[in-house]
Amino acid sequence: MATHSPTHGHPVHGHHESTKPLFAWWKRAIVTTAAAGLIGMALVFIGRLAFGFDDLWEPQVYYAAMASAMGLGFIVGIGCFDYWGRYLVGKQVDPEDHSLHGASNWRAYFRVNTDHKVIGIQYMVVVFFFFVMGGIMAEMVRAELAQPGQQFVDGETYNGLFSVHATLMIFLFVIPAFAGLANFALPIMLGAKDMAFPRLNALSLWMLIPGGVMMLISPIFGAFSAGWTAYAPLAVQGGTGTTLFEIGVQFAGASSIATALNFLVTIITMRAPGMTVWRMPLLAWANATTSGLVVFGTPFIAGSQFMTLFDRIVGTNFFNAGNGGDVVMYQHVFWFYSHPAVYIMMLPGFGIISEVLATFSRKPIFGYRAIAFSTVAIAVLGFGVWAHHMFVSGMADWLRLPMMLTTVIIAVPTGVKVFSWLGTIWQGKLHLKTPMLWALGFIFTFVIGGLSGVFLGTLPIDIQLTDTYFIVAHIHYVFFGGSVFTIFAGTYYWFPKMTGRMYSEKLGQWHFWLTFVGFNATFFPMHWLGIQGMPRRVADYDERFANLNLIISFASGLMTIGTLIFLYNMVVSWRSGPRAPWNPWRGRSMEWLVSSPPSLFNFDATPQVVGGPYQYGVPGARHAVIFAPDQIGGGELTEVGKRTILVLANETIAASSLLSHLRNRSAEGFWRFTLVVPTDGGNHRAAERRLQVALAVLANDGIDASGVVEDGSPLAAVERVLAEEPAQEIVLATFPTGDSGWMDQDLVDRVRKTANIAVTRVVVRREEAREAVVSSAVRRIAVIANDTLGDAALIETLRDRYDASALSAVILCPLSIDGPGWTDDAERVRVEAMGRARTTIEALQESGIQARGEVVDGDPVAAAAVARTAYSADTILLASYQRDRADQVLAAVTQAAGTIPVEHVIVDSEAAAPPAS
Amino acid sequence: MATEQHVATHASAALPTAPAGRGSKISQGTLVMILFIGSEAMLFASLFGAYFMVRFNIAENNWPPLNNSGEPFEVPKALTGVNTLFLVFSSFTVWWAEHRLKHGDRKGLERGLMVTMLLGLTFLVIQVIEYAHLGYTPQDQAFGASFYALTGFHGLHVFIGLTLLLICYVRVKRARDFTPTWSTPLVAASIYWHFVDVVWVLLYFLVYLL
Amino acid sequence: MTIGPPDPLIASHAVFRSPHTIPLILIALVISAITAATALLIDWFPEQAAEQAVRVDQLMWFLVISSGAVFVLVTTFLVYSVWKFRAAPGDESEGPPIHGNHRLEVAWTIIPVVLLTVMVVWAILVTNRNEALAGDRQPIDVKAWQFAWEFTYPELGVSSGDLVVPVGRQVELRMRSTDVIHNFAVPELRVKRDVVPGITTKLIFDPTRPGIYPVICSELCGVGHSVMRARLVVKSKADYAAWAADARAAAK
Repeated sequence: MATHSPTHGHPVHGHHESTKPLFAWWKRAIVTTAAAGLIGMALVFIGRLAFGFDDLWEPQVYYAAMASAMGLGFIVGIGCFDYWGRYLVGKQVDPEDHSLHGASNWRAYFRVNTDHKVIGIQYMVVVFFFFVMGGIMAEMVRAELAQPGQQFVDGETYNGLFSVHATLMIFLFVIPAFAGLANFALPIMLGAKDMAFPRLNALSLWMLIPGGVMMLISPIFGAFSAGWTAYAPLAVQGGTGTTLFEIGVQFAGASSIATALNFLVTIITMRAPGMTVWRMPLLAWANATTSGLVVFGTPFIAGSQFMTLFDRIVGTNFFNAGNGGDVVMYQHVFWFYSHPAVYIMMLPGFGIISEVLATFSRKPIFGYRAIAFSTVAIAVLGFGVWAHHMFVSGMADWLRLPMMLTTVIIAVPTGVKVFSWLGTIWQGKLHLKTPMLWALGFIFTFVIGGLSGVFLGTLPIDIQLTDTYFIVAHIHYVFFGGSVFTIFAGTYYWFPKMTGRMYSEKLGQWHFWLTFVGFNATFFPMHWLGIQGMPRRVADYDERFANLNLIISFASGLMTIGTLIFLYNMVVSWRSGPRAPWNPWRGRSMEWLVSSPPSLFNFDATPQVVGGPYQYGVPGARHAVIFAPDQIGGGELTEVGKRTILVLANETIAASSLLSHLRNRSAEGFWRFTLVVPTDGGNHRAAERRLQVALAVLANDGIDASGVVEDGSPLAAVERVLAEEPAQEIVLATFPTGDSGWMDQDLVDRVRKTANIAVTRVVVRREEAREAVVSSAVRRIAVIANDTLGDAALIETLRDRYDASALSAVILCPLSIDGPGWTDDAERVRVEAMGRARTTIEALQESGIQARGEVVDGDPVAAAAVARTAYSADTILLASYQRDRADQVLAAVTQAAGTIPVEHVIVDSEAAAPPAS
Repeated sequence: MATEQHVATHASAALPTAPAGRGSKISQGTLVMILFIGSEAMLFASLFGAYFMVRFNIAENNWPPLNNSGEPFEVPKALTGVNTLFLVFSSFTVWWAEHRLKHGDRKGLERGLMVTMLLGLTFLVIQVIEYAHLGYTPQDQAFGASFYALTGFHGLHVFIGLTLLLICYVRVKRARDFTPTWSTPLVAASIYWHFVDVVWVLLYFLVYLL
Repeated sequence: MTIGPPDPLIASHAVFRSPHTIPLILIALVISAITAATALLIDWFPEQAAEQAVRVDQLMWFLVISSGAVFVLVTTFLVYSVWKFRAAPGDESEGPPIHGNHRLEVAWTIIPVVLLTVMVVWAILVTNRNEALAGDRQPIDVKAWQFAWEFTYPELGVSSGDLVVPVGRQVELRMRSTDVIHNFAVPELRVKRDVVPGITTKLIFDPTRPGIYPVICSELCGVGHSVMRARLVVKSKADYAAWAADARAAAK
């Protein structure tokens, strides 16, 4: 680092990616979790002893203490507090410490990460895990309900199944899924390089996980079976699982409050220059409002669950009517959060739908301000409707009328949104890609859910329909047909941006249609069941509902199939889908102005917002532009207008460290590479071979690169290439100072002076330059040879093969030593063999072929096994002189090689060294 | 090697976008603390709501309600009144500490923080003594539960506030943090402390006096 | 929306000359037919066994019709748009830059407000009439516990496991729970109310039709929730008198 300065005139934020191995994080997490559990128990024990309680053993108290402590212990152990821990003991900390930012490999997704893009993906993976868990429980519920009477599970288990199904879907899927999607997309849409508080953002994610695990495992400890609403006093009676639910909810709630605070501050303070509130994408409006609801609503569910918890574990009397408790009070406190929570689960979806509809209709949003205002109106009114869940609860009768009024008023802004979306697609140019299908499907199902909501807002009708299957139908129409459809729309919409890969459109369409049909067939008949009087949350029901329930259970299977297709599509496309361009949907908001996936800090230059986000069809209109700084040539940064980096290297050109450096730079999005190999008086053909390997590897990674071998000095080569094509930066790869001829000539400074552009130096160790680079673009050939080693004919053969494709070679020299292997005689044979191998390797390297070697104690068959296991060779080359046993050896080697093709090379030269025995 | 290369790689990746907090008059830290206090206020709103619903339920018949031993619940108005004064006074001391920092007086800042923390600690100790002499427990009727929940959660928040102040104190002493122009964590902690005081004054008025 | 490039200014004035009108009406007719068939051909409502049920069902029909209209409207435009405005493969052109239409936006704000106002007024009337106390109502005490019901008749001084009432006389249930929250619901009456520990909740209904109806606990109350059932037996006046006499005799 001493020899070169940063390439651009920007402050360097030392981004040393953490090198701590993954298992170290998790080992510490497991240890602290276990230790915290013990400490929690010990504290309760000491406390009870100190205050002189009669019975020291009160299981529920210990469970509660253990669960809370273990949750906290996990968060601490996984490393969420490492930075703050140093801060609060007064150590020096670097606020710009990015050591946990970004992911260059899969491991970075399994530890604390402060990059909002990584956190977004972590969220999505976590929530889809819980979605599958909740879905399995739903299918078990449907299995039980397929026929009246008791089939698979008893009443208590059944109650536990639907309770945990609902809590997982609400607290661990819908709410955090929106947090995940917005986490990824929103900062980029605002033109920010991250969220306002990246470490808090990571904490939010990791708080969610203990919460989810507690809810998921609660059935093991005695079912939590009071429904997701956990009404007291039933919840007070429930098993230990209820304690886990009540504590799990606190973790999930704290997580969503932290995320919401982060979103609010990000949206308020981190918008790009030029982005006024009326130029914000509607997703930003939706998330700002939702975050307000979360911040001000969620404490109420915390309060309600604390009270139930205290009633359960320490015997308080909040809800014990015999001792002055107030049962209805629970519902007031609970619904004061949980009704706004309905909008917490819906408004971000509205935002996603607005983005998707405008993009795939190629039309501006119809009534942008109306949609924005209606979002805020819904949120504000949302705090004044909680008691419409309690029309039959025995609360004060006078409260019902105002609650009905506010409830019905909410239908107006909701209607405005739906009509505005219809206005958006009207006369558009509809592209029915998967995200658009989900959005259109959403409008259909959400209208049904919204209208059934009007039924339920109407007092006399609600009295008839509440607590029946009509409610089940309604909530699934708004949460599944509503929220989940928008989550799928958003997942497909941003999948290319998140992963840099395209999903399979065909499978996406299958997923949609199966789910859409299955969904309506499952939930529409439930309206009838509800009106007829089938109560919700029952394991057994009237004989006359049997046929319809059977149909419903079968129909729900379609959604399961759809979900399996979705998971398959996501996993396979992420691993091997086609590469995504920057802007596959021709969207206008800022996430589409950067590469897929975006670079480490999203933007390589500050974006400038110049107009609204939905200016489709307006001639010449733009939402934002990103101008490159002068250092990289100025002008607008786009996918096609790439800037060139000139890579100057000779022997180091195919070194893996240089290639991974180029890979990282390429991820920034706008670079193409010209590789220049000056022969500097060396072997021209060898330079070409090295260049061929480098280009093959880069092409295989989808990196735009070309190359040229220039005879002559490096400086002359740079001048010649720059004369033909201007470059914005030069990357110079050399051996370490002291071991490098180029550094002896002070080449970095001289190139900088000659070219007058920034020069970055990459240091490559000499051994590394010789080692074969690992890439599927480079064939790995294992040469098994002994006495033919060192023969010029063998090297010639390899060189010829090289002309067909880029390859690297490993020379394996099998030695069959008779008698013990440590005798002087054996040692002499080994040294001789090594000498021959070394000659061959050096000759190959001279020719520009990366090669290494090994002397194997054993026969050629053993060498073949080594080639297969240790070097995962693509091809085995067995080289020998024409001799009698050659065919037998070939047969044996072929068998040992398994699926690897074996080729036999007969070396003609008769002027070989005498055969070693 | 690895380190050298990474620095070279990401020097360019760390290009800045719009500076954080652009166009906002208050710092991000202060803003998030104010929003968080909104959230905390709602937690107390839920507990106050519970308290009043329990209270109105009973008030139809008699107020104050009788405890398990058949005596009316009583709250020590005088002792808690004195305690309230301690807490209110600590709001002024933390303001004074910030004020001293603005004048560049770090010693004054340290002293102000120390006095504030001592006052807060005194409040907690007196509160615990009060609990010990109340004569009823959280298990005693719903009144006991909601009374202890309110005062207990408030006590917990005093403790959190004290922790925040302690962290600031450590930062001042050991890291020589905060300058007259930049002291966001300190500002956030002191806003939190004011909030804890305001809640207590409200609580004293509504639960003890009303 | 006439011939030539779309013009947002003309669009709102030329509805009847628009080429979209006829296909829209046709689609609307088809969807209306499907919606009406779903509403009419399926027997949606349970029997009406109380005066309350008649009033609730009238209001329900109003809601079904008005929300059916909204549903038809939305789906018509949705289906038509998807059919008509699909972009051809490879078509990268953009739609007309229409950012909104104030008249339209005001209209679709006002019309729902009017509909909802009617609904609210109607709902208030129904609620008031459904809960109006009659002078000669019969009080019955209901006790609910996990997982059974008990009905006590103060006028008769007897208790029973089924709720037996005569036609034509208002019933006032005074409900108490001894453990957790339950809910008294009879779909044929269209009334429902929680039975809450600590307070007495009241429920009134005017039975009109003799028969046997299920009394369902509709609030999750634990492991036996789905079997917490009783029967509502509505008897003619004469039958009820006979039953009451028998019950009183048995109680002695």
